[in-house]
Amino acid sequence: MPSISEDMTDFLVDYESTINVPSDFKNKDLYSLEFNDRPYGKQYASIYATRLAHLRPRVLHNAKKKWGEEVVNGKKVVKKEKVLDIHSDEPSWVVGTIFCDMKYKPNILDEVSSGIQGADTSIKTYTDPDLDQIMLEDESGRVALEGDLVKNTILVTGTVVGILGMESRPGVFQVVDIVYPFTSAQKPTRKSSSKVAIVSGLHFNGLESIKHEALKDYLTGELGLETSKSVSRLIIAGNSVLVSGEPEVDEKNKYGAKNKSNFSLDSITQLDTFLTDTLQSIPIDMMPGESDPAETSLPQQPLHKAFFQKSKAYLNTSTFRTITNPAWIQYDELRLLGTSGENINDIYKYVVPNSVQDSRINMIEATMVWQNIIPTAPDTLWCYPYSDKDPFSLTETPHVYFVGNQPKYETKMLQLDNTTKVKLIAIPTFSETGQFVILDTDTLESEVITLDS
Amino acid sequence: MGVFEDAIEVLKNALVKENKPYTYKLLSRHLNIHVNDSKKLLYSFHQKYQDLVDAHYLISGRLNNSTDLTIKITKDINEKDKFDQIQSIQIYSLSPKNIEINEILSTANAQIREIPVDAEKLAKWGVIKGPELVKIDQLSTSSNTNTSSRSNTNTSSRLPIGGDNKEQDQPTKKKNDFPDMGLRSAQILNRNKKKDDDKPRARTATQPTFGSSMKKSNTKQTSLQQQPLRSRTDPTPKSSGSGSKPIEIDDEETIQKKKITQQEKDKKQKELESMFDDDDDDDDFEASQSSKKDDAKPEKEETSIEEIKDDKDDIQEVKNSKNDDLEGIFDSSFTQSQSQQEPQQKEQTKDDTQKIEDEPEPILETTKDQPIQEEPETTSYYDEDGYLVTEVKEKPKPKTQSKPKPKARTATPPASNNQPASKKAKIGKTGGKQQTSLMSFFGKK
Repeated sequence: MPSISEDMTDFLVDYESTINVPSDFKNKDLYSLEFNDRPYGKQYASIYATRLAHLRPRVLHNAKKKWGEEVVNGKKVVKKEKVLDIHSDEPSWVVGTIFCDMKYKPNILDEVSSGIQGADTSIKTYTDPDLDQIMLEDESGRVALEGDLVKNTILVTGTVVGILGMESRPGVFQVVDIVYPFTSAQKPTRKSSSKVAIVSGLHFNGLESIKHEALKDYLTGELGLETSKSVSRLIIAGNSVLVSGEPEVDEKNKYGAKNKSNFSLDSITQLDTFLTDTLQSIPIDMMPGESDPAETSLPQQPLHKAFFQKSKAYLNTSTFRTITNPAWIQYDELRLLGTSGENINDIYKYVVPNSVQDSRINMIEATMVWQNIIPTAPDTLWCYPYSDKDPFSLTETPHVYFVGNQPKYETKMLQLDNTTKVKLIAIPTFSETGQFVILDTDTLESEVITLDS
Repeated sequence: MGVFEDAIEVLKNALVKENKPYTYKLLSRHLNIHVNDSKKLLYSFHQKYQDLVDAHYLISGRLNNSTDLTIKITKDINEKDKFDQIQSIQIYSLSPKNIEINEILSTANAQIREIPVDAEKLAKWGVIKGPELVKIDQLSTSSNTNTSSRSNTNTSSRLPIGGDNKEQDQPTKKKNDFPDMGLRSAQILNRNKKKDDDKPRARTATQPTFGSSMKKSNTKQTSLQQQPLRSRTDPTPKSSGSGSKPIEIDDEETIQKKKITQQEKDKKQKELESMFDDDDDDDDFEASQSSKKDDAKPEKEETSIEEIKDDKDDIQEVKNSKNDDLEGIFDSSFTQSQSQQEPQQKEQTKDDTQKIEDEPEPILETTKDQPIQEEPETTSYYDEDGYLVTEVKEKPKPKTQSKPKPKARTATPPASNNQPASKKAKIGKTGGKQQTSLMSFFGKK
């Protein structure tokens, strides 16, 4: 018989380290919307316009540096201001926004003409490689892009890039090189020495689960594991509760009060209990996600406090914060940017057939290179119709960029330029993998812990 | 070892006799011992009674040369052979034969939840103590008087926050007056009969007046913060003032001195006139309402309004209590809540208040009807997140209390007289709607 290991140390009752949560910093409220000033009556076009206006100079900067003296086929390349300025037989480059015309991509015009409301979110992929057309557009017009480079590069609607090449036939541009926006500044110091646990996809469904219990015990230190006590904060990156089945909609009385919510009270209560128990030992930052009872459009606003009957005593203190999705978080001097995964899961639908394995880290990396974390909003993701800014375009590069609800744990230290490094982490879905991630805020090394039963 | 034998006995009873599973956490909490000791006890018990009980093991270590930790909960101890490196093996739970782990959990956790928790116990059980736990006191924890007073002040404070104090005060007064009118006829009768009644009512009036005065003086933000303190402090002087009668009575005197010298004069001579004319009366009325709340409610209450207040209180308390670094967060939420409140109040009060100000009497009738009818039934407000929350009140217990509440919110009471207070009380009893209709009737004539 096994003996209980004697080297189980009598653990410290207190934390080894703590994390300070600054009350204010740049971008802290970047994704929060005023509750009383949130008009939805605007057109989405202005998001693309402001995005292009913001990122074009940064692309131009990189393009000039890279292609300034470029010579193709003996001719010096020419910069074109607008897409429609492109002439044939002249190597040139131009900056614009990518638009993907894909067979299975939801199209609002089709929806209107067919009388169907709402996109089919169950679509696994938008793309059909034989028919897809990738285009570059700006205020003036569009040009179709061709070339192996285009096929082998992740390009999705809404990304702003510069392309170098030549018009091969009318309206078609042969691409030989692509540049991306100049990397935004990164906070020079990131002093912090602690550990943060990040979990996503808890998917509470009202039934007791040993995985959830073990996670709680790990965080509270009752499993007696050495690493528990150095973890001083928990981030829950969305999808904390499971949507239970289809909503029962009475077709005859669609807007009546009888329609039941497809969120079960049990799952919310279970989440609440989990939070209350865990908060005794570890502060929590909680993001909403796709399956949570929050609005569908990005940026998702913090979960409503009515869900936290037991834990509301701690709500909106430094102990328990409900935050937006996506969200900027600062721990000590370290800045993290996180999403609950909708952005990457949507980008994945643009590229599925191209990717041999189910890896998302390339897409996570791409959003950093594009300097836009949710380019596909508002095309294929719902989002708030910002009129004067595009907050999804980065004006600051985070130290850590994590994405929740991914199929597996992946991580990479991305070198964006000489001085800018970003730690990328794909947080696996806990309910499926039993995994959560521990991030060392000092070394930025991460490890995954698996709970198995 | 007393604990040891206790544990064996407990486990024997549960596992063998009652066929109930036991997890290490349940045992730890049951016997109030450290979880490590609990695990050891489970292990010793399992050694003795292997034939009768199943064990679930928790094996932690590293698999397949990976550097990542894996924690496996399994019934099969041989799972440990799959690990390249084992960090620890613990007993997670004991159970009668053939019970699924999730079932064990739900049974055990149900029992665990019945065991009260406090910081001291948590430390003893071996739960990591987090950094300073910032907890917002709930109303339930604070004493009745404090809570009630807090809540009252908050409600009253809301009104001032939302719009200009002056505007609100006036319209509210007017509203109150009309209902008072209806009441008055009854009141007058009552007065003749019982002079004593006036005093207690007056006290109620006085308390609210404190609140009202505070509101006026303070700026929006400060008023929120300061009010709770003040309200708490208030009761003591009041009580000291009057020896024999209940606490509330004392308040009358102090309040009267401050604000309502004029009203007192008017009382005896012109009751009706004072009602219409005096803004102060109105204030008193509100005040009396709120004070009544204080007295009566603390135990019963917990209506929607007070919940709203809770939130504010939470914010306030936190600010007062601890962490400076948190203040940013709180401030933001705080300002949000304020801004949220503003629209509400504006919506509710605007129409009424403005009209009332411009054309006091005739308008009052129409305006009164709207707010009075709607408010007692439902309360809607924007919470901190911008959601419009509409709460339907439960049945008002004593009519006086329940009906006054909505009024108290919107109205900021001026100074208090004995007479107005009594009127107010009556108003509450009769019901806002009826009163207003009566009022209109009189006004037209």
